[in-house]
Order: sequence, then structure tokens, then C-alpha cells
Amino acid sequence: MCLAVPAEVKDIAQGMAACAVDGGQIRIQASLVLLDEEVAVGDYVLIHAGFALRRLDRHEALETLDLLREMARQDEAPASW
Amino acid sequence: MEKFFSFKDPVLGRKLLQKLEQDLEAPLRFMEVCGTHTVALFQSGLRSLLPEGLEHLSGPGCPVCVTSSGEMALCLELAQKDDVIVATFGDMLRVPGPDGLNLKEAKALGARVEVCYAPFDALAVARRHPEARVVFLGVGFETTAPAVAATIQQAEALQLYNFSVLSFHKLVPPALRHLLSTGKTAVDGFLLPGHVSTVIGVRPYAFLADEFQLPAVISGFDPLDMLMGLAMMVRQRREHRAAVENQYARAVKKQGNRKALNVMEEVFTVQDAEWRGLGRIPQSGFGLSDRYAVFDALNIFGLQARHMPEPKGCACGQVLQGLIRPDACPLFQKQCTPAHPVGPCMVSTEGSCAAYFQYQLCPGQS
Repeated sequence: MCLAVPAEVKDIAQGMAACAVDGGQIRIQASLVLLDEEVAVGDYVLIHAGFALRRLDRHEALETLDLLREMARQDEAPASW
Repeated sequence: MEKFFSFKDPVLGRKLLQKLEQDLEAPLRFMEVCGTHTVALFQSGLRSLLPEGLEHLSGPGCPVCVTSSGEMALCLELAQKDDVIVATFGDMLRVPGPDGLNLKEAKALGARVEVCYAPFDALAVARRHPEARVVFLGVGFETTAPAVAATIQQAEALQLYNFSVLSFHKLVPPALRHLLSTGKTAVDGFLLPGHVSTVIGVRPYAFLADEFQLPAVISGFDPLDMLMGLAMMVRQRREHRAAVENQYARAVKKQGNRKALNVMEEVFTVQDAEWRGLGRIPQSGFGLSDRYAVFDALNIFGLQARHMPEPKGCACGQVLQGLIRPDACPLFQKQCTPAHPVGPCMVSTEGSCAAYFQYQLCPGQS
């Protein structure tokens, strides 16, 4: 039930954002009233039950990916034979 | 979707799995407490790829599943009233009440029940039907509660006084504390719910590490998110550390979402709540605050939450506490199937019984 979808903000008017999910296949409206940060067209937001709850942070995402690669890299499994 | 918001690379996933296997020094049993994790672990196939020593339990992470029999009875009682329209998320339709009847059947018998995608939709119903009293069933954890709170504020702004909320919202951290305090649930770490944490942040979980010395990792829902979360948990175990770590930093800030927390705190008040299978947990639910009493369905209809027995033979309670696996319930796949669910864990697609059933997991096959 806590499913939330990431979506790209395409347009903002009167506290509502028109967002594109899955590369634009699906359009949904989300209220921005619960956000504690500014969003702009082109940002990605996390939407749950009609409300955007967070602007997804590109910088943090890239950092997590770096960490992930590092975790996967360090002492890679030796070949099993 | 921009590629850095998608954590699905199978090559990286395989490497991380190897690493996880390497790091796992002793069997480890982890619990997730989010229905979205339950489903994502099965759906991505990750669950079947996990190393043998890494055991997965689904805790009380599905709001529908933890809605008590007594609470369901009140929903049905309201639906029976002639001038009431019950507005609800679709998940609640098939949860059986104490006498086996559910909202879907009540609707077939003439009750007015409307399914909403967002709580805002219930306001539209209230506008369309000024002659009726529209009651929205407020279920969900901290992810959903702010949306319902904001909807109540909107109802006030629009002066929609034929709208009210039956609030059975529940809070995740008190349930985790309860699970650990009873001493029955044995886990080595928690995979914490990403979207609940988007709202509440990191701090409310601190007690897991501080008081119970358990590793806990807030995790996202893509396969690499969950794998990384598990790898972080395993690493903590190996390094004999216990900390609350945040794998899902792109969506979870340390302080949570201040605005959502404020709206929630203004509209709701923390109170004791009855959880299916877990019983009454102090300070684990949200009722409406006095300021918004005029939108409180309990208040308007003079209802009182009461304890009701759970369906006979149903082991949802034990499943929710991680004491048994769904397939160990005597009713599983026999009397209780997704088509004819006895308990709520089989009703919701996010319930662990339904996930077990759908993904055909039988003993010995994991």
C-alpha cells in the first residue's frame, strides 16, 4: 500500500503537477502541497496516493550507485574452480 | 526514467549477490515490514536467488493485513447505513469482517461503496452527493497518513462537512518495538520501509540499534536497492555493528519530510491502536485531533473501536509476527486462497500469504 511511483514533472499549475510515468506512457496529476522543497519541470518526484512526497535527489542517487559498484567490486568472488 | 533513478542492472546485481554470499558468515534472518518489499522481493525473483543462509520474513508491513477484525466491523457497520457512502482504497474491499461479510459483498447487497485511487477522490464523491455522508476509510502507515491529513484540511477549506474519515492509520516504529519487546520474534536485522521513511526520516528507528542492538537498513524497492540493503545489513553483522543506515538516500532525508510531518501532526493525534494479530499496541495509531473532530467518523457516528475475535483457525497473527511462514498455516491453500481469503494476509496482494500463494512457494522449494 505504501507503493509510490517516481514520475517526471512536466507541468506545474496551482500546486498541482502533471507528471509522466514510464517515459510518458502514463500521465498522472499530483498535489505538491506536502512537499517541503521546491520542484521544477524536469525534476523527478515520488508520488503516493495523489501526492508528491519527495523530489528524487540526483546527486544522492549517483552516490548510491557509486557505493553499490564499490560494494560489488571490493574482493570480487574468486572463480569457483 | 533517468537511469540513475533505476536500480535494476542485472550484472551489478549478480556481483552484489556473490558478495552477499561471501560476506554471510552465519545464517541470518531478516524481516521486512513493508508490503511493497514483500511483493518486490518475490516479483523480482530476488527471493529465490538469496543465499541459503539468508532467511526472509515478512512482518506486519501491510496496512490492510493489520487492520483488526473490530475495525473492519466498524467499516461494515457504516456501509450498512442508508445515507452513508463508504469511500476506500480498493485493497479494503475483500477483507472479511467478523461474520465473514466484506465490503464488496455489502455493496452487492446494496451498500454504497466507492473505490478511490487517492483520498482526494473521496472529496469529489462528497461534492457529487451532498445528500449523503461520505466516509473515507483511513488505513495505511506514515506514507499514506499525510495524504489523508491533507485531504481533511482540504475538506475544511472547501467546507465539505458531509465528508469524514474513519481513521485506522498505524505507525511502523511502535510496531517494531512491540515485536521485539514480546521476545517472540527472532530476527537479526530489519529491512526498513523506504516510503514510510521518506515521511518520518531516520531517527524514529534509532532504538532498533541503540536498545536492541539490531542492524537496520532503510531500503528502496528496486532489486539493487534491496540487495544493497541486505548487503549493508550483512556487513554490519560481520563487523559486529548495529546501526540504522539509509540505502535509499535519493528518496529519504535524515529528517524525513517536514511538511508532511507537520500536516500529519496537526490533523492527527497519536493513540493506542489494535493491530490484527499483534493486539493493542500503545501509541501506535492515529486518531483525529480535537481540532478536526468534525471530520472524525468515530465521533460523528458515535462509534467505538472494539475488540473482535479473528477468524477461526486463521494464523495471520503468527504470520505477521514472523513466527510461522504462511505455508505453515493449516488453512493456507486449503480453505484460504486469494479467491476465498479467510484472513487479511491472503486478501491484500501485498499480504505475505497472497505473495506466497501467487509465487507458488511451497515447503522445500525455496
